[in-house]
Amino acid sequence: MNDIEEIVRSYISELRRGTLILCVLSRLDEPKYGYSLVQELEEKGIPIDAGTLYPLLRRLEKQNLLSSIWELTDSRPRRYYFLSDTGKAVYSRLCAEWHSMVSSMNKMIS
Amino acid sequence: MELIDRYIYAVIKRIPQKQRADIEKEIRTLIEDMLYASCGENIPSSADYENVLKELGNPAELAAKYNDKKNYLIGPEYYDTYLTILKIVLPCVIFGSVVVAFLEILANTPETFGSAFGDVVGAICSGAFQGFTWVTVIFALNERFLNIKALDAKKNWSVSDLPEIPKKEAIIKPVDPILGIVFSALFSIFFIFENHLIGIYNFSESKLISIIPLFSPEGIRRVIPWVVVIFIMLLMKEGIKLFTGRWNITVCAVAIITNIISLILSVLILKNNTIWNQSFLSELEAAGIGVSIQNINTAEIWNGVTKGLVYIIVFGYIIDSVVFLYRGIRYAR
Repeated sequence: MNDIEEIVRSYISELRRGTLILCVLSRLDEPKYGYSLVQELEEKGIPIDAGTLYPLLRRLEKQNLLSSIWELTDSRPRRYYFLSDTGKAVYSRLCAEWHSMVSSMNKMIS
Repeated sequence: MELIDRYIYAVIKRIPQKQRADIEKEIRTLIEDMLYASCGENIPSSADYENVLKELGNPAELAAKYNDKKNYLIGPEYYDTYLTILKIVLPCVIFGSVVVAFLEILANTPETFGSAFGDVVGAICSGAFQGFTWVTVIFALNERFLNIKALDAKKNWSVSDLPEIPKKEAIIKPVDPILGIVFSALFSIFFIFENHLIGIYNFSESKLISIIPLFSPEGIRRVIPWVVVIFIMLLMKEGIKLFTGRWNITVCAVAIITNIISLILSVLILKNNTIWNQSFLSELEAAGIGVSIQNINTAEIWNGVTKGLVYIIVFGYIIDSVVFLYRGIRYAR
């Protein structure tokens, strides 16, 4: 019984991991700093560890999907991330792929 | 707060120098944001600090997420090749060290059985350790700096690359080349380092008194590079057998070419008078072993022996090459 739980949990986390990039890209058409994104995703029912999101944001920036600037808000410096042009192009491609995948998947499992 | 500094330090020290300042700043603002989210305008208590850091999790894991560098010594791409090489090298060096240890024991006659046993165990351990270390170091260096493509990792793979299923007789079992490599490695090591043990063993009342060496160590030292070249030729021959796994024209052509090169070098080495122990005959006589029959020119016998050795080697190489030629033609496809 525990085995099944374990297996299910590991596959769910695998499914989530695949959608994470899409979640992040979808939220960054306007600049946001890391922790506000954590909170926003949590509100929308996609909880993610800050310790996972922050490195992910850096990696996306390294791939030129995101740009970032340090800005002072509430007298604190924070790094704001936002979609670059490449990021926008990649995001719309991924969205199209997502929609077709969802409709095929629905046909299969419903 | 000291706790935060310690946490950040624990993350940062695992991250490359270049990114440290930036990531430190980022994590610091993150922690402040998290504290603010849980306490608002209130001054956070030490329990609040602890909770936030607990939520962030193990600093080593966080650092690992920041590092997308390779955190392995030998990656999946090379792991199979690495294991194959280890499986060849380890038995070679272990077997080799045991033989050398035994010969040392034979030559030096240690005090007790215990010390002899210790020598052998020591030889096995240090041989295995050396072999393992060097193979691993070479593969790790390759992983990090060279990235030589694995043997069968071709970029543009096509269906025509699929090998024919060989006829049963055309398959080369891995044991065959591996044994070949083991023995030639042994022989080369032995010939280079322990050649003083090759000779006539002078026993008296079943106790070894002396060994009259056949070769001159200085002479052999001068031909070491050529012995190494012969060994490399053999490695190429057995290596291509091992990796191809079947007889075909290429394997046999490589085998014959390396055979010719080794043959020429072997003959040149043996024809070189300086490698032989020049005083072999007189030492033999002094030891009272030489059957000193009068009217026989011992020097002539000596000449005959060395010449005979050359003939045997030539003959061996020719037989070997003919066998290869036959197999190459027979299993050409």
